[in-house]
Amino acid sequence: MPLTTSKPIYGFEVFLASNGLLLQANVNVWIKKRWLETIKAIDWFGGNALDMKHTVETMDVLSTDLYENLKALNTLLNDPSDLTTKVIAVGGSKYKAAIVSLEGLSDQLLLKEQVINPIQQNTSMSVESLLNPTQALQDIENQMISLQVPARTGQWETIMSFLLSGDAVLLLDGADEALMIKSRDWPSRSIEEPQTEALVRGPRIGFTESIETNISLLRRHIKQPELMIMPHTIGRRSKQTLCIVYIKGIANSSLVNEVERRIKSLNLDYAPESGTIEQWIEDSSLSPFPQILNTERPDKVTAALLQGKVAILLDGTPFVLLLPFTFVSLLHSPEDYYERWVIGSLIRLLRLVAVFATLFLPALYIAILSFHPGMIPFKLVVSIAASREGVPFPAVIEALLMEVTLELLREAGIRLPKPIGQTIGIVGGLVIGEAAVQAGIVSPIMVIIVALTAISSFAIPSFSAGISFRMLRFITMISASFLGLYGIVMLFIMICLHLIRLHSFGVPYLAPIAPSFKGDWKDMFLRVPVTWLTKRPVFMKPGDTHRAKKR
Amino acid sequence: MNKLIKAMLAAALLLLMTGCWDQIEIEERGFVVGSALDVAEDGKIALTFQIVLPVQMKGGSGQKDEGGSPYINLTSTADTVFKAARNMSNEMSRSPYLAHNQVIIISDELARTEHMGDILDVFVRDHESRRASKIMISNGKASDMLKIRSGIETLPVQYISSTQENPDKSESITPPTNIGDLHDLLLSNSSYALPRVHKVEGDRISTSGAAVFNGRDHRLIGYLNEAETTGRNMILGTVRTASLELNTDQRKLLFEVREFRRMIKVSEGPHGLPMFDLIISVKGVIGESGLEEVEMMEQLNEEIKLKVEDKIKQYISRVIDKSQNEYRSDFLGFGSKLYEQQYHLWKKYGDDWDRGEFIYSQCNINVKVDVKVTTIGTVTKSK
Amino acid sequence: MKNELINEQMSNKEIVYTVSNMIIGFGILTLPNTIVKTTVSSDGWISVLLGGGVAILFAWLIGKLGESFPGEHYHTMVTRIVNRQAAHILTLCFTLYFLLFVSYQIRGVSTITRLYLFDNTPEEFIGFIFLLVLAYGVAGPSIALVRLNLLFFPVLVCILLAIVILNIGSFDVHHLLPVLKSDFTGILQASKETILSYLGVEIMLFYNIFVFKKKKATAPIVYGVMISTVLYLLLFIVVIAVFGSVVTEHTLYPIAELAKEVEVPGEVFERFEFFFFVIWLISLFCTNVMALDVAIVGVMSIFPKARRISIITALLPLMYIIGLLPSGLYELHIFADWISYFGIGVAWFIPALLLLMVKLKGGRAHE
Repeated sequence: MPLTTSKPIYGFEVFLASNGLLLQANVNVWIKKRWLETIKAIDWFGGNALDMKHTVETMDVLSTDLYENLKALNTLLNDPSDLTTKVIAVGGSKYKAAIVSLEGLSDQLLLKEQVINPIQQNTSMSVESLLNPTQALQDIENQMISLQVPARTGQWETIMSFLLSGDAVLLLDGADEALMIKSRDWPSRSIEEPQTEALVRGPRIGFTESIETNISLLRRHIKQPELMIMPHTIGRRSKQTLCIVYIKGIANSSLVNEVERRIKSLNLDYAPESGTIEQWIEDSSLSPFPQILNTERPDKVTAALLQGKVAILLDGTPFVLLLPFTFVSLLHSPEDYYERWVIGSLIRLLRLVAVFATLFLPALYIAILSFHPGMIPFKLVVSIAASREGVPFPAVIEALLMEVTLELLREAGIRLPKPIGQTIGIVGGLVIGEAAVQAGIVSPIMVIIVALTAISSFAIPSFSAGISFRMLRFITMISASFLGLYGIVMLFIMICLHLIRLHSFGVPYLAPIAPSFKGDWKDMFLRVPVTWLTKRPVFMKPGDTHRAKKR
Repeated sequence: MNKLIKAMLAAALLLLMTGCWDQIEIEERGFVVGSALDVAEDGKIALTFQIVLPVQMKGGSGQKDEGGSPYINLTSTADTVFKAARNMSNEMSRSPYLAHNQVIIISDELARTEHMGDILDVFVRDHESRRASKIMISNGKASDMLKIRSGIETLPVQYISSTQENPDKSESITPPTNIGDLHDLLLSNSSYALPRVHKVEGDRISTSGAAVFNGRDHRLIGYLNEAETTGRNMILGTVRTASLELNTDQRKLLFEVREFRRMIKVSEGPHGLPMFDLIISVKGVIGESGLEEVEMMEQLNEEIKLKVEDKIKQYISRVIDKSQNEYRSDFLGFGSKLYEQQYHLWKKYGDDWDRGEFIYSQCNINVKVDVKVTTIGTVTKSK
Repeated sequence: MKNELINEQMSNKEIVYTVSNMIIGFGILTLPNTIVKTTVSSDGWISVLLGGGVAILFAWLIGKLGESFPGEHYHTMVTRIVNRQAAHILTLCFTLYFLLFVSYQIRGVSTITRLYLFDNTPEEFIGFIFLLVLAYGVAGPSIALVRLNLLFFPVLVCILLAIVILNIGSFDVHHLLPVLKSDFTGILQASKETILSYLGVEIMLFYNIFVFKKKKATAPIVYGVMISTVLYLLLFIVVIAVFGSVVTEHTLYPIAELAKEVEVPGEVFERFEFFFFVIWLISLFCTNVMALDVAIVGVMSIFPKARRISIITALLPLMYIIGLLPSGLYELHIFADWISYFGIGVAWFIPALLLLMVKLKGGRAHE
């Protein structure tokens, strides 16, 4: 399996972009990479590329003339600059052969050592082969080449797909068939710790852009033939590989069927990331809540698969989709299971508090300040009122101003290269906050509230879920500014109504709570000792309910 | 579905266009911490609000005006309290907010002439006001009480209310009565006593004593002094600790009550009238031992017991006498005991309890005191 | 292809919660004050229990009727037992009752919300917002509304218990004395009031569509009524113990006052009543959204061709106007009493009669 060839660090290079030379090199690397990503996506399983119909019109099959074939190949590929052709003589005979490959996609050294050298240095050939080119091709395949030959065909279409995926093609003069030689060498990133889901305790392995690597990572965790990997090809033009992964006998079959049905109904040019797939297949695209979880962690995927969930892997992205997704799993992180149960449970409760704080803290601030100061103790009221004295805006505007600033800072922090990102964080957080207070635009208490909200929103393990809560926070703030506590309550009811109607692949979004599955409460807001967790979550109706034996 | 979305949109628009009726920013509210009610000229009522100035309250804030007062007292005069409160809103730049009102002080003059229910109606009904606002009766002008500066507390109101909660002198202070309790009393038409506040030595206030109200027309009828208040507290059972001064053989002893229990038993006495047995049990110690020998103490034990008993009986009988004969009002809660324990008698006499035929004044109240001296000080010998 | 993960059945727990929440929704605010008027001190608990007993009896009857027709709702039940015309009329009465119930409650919600949360915001506006959220609620599937109870009912119970526990400090046992001194007619009169607070079980006649299992629905329905009886009893006693009967009688919403009385240790919150208010609003919303949903189901069974959305758009303004009709609290109370008596007749006695007919006709129900 190919691992490391080049490892671009984009941010750093863009940062130093003033250096023209480097920029040039950088762009080259970039173009190459995109090109590679596009081509390599063409089905590594081989057989599925047969539906590629648009390239070949007149020529369907190979002719017996080598040079005619080479010419045809050039035409079919529209004279690519990176096509390398090497015509060699087959040792011990008068045959001429051509090795064709795309430079950069195939391992040229490997081809030289394992294909070209043995053919040239061959000394003898049987009489039969000398007369019959087809037989000679057979001999070359069996006796000379030591690389794997996945196919032997005369169809241009197949040849093209192999060639574009990085395999070499061996054409023999006189034979109307060609050998495909596996010599792919795609550059890819090495396995690193996932950036977005770092844990204190847990495996330091993350998925990469290569689907082969990702599947191997999963296979390494679950060594069972029941681990089903169902390949699909996505993208009319990009021909990407997408795999539906589940464990037969655990995942509910109607869930798997539903996932397959939705994947098969997809008809799009190109899926740049699994996020595109997610948006195409989710139940309700109007909902602010994510209905499919994405993760970079193989351990998370493995655990989910063993719970009866289904994973979708897409080539070209390290983000794996996990479904169905439920509201409570938004509070879950793999670490909850790695740490002892008390800690896991407390952290989950903390995250629940964080969810509510993200949603309602600024809104409550507005409601209390503008409508119901009687809610909080006298001394606090006095100190808030004193700190607000001189602030020109009503609490709503003050809160909106600060929250929008916070979002801006967050967004800017992501875009900027890492070393600067941290600086901006400090500048934004401290300087702007302090200056705003000093200038009398916002009150210090507001800064505290904003900071608390921000911290809370990042305490939610799923980043995309965190975004949806942050988004809803603005709506709660506005409703609080109109009707105070009453507005918040009404909006809360609406959110609850929405959540209760939402489904993720047929599974109710609020699953173990409503409808209620008492058995699954052990692993909901609390995480009871693992020795008690002997059953898989019931709400997904797994085929095999027991995952451990009681001690 | 489309229609619904349109309807929602329209509603959202409506929401945006209509104002926010109740939105008042926190710094634009006038937080009332205390109110005072006085009699003004021509029989009008003067309502005074003590309003906090948050900036002056808070230490360290930039805009603080050094030496500025942390509060202002505003007065408004009108025929009724309600109107006065209304006027206040018109005259003030900030709308008064009553949710943090801690104390309501009523001048004795007003309490004598007006029905308590009428005076406090605004405070009882207003949803913003707390049930926990304490009510007190002042000697002299109530609004003067809101002007006292103690130096310890920032606000006069805090000074008044914490003085009243001072646990060291609990036996002679009438327990705080809040709006909720008063509402209770007003509805049940029984007599009661409210805490009293009066000025002493210029800038000091005292909250000992009580103002007695009559359940017939809820007007002030008189006062209880410190000793009588102690007696009342003993009858009501609100005393936790107390110190009693005893004189034995030219020595002064201080008996510290550590445990105080009282029980009232109601039975049918002679002539079918209710009869009350008040049983008080006291445990205590001799605090300041002026005695040199322990042996002497032991000799005195019996004597101390008798003295304590006398002292307590003295307190109680004085206040009972005042209640039954002078004021003829049951502000000691015997009526409710009758209701609880002898419902049939209550049904018979309830309407004439401390009005009409004044059954209460004819009742026998027997007092029994049981004293135990547990330990004698902390040291056996003082020298 | 049917996705077997989608669950359209009502579990027992859902039935219990639905029934309890439906009952407690509005009754809880005013309950103690209506009882104390005719009873002496704490004797009203007998009335609470009596009312609960009667409610349990009818709950049992309603449950039995539902069990005879698993997976069907009231309209089809009546069609089977009597005929289509009768079904139309009875369902119409039922729908009317629920519609009036909801319009009254919208008015009640806005009145009380205004009383405790606002000063100047007009009731009409508060009610309008409530109505909009109701519309959003009924626009979706019914089963979701039933499940809303699973979220909120436990919280409601927790908050109520918290109010009780945090009030222990202000308990005065003497307020409960004397015991058993009220005359029997007084207790009966109070029971008449308490029975009204138990309305709400009848919702299960319609939500019977989600109950497929035979001989299963009665027990959870009865449990639901029992839970609300116990809660009522507890709250009644606590209210009396804290305020005494005299004050209770003159307080409009004793339990809201009880929440006001709470002092949270540590003084984090000056006033606890806001929490009570929030959860009370939510539980009221649950009861109303279910009642409205049932009313719409009723209309739809009479006019099978009408679309749900058009029914909603037609009904909501109507209800809004009805809710605005009574002027002042007094008229509102009379309005409420009328609806309640109507409800008892339509939703309790008629189903009981229907069950009698089923039993008399014998096996016909199981056709």
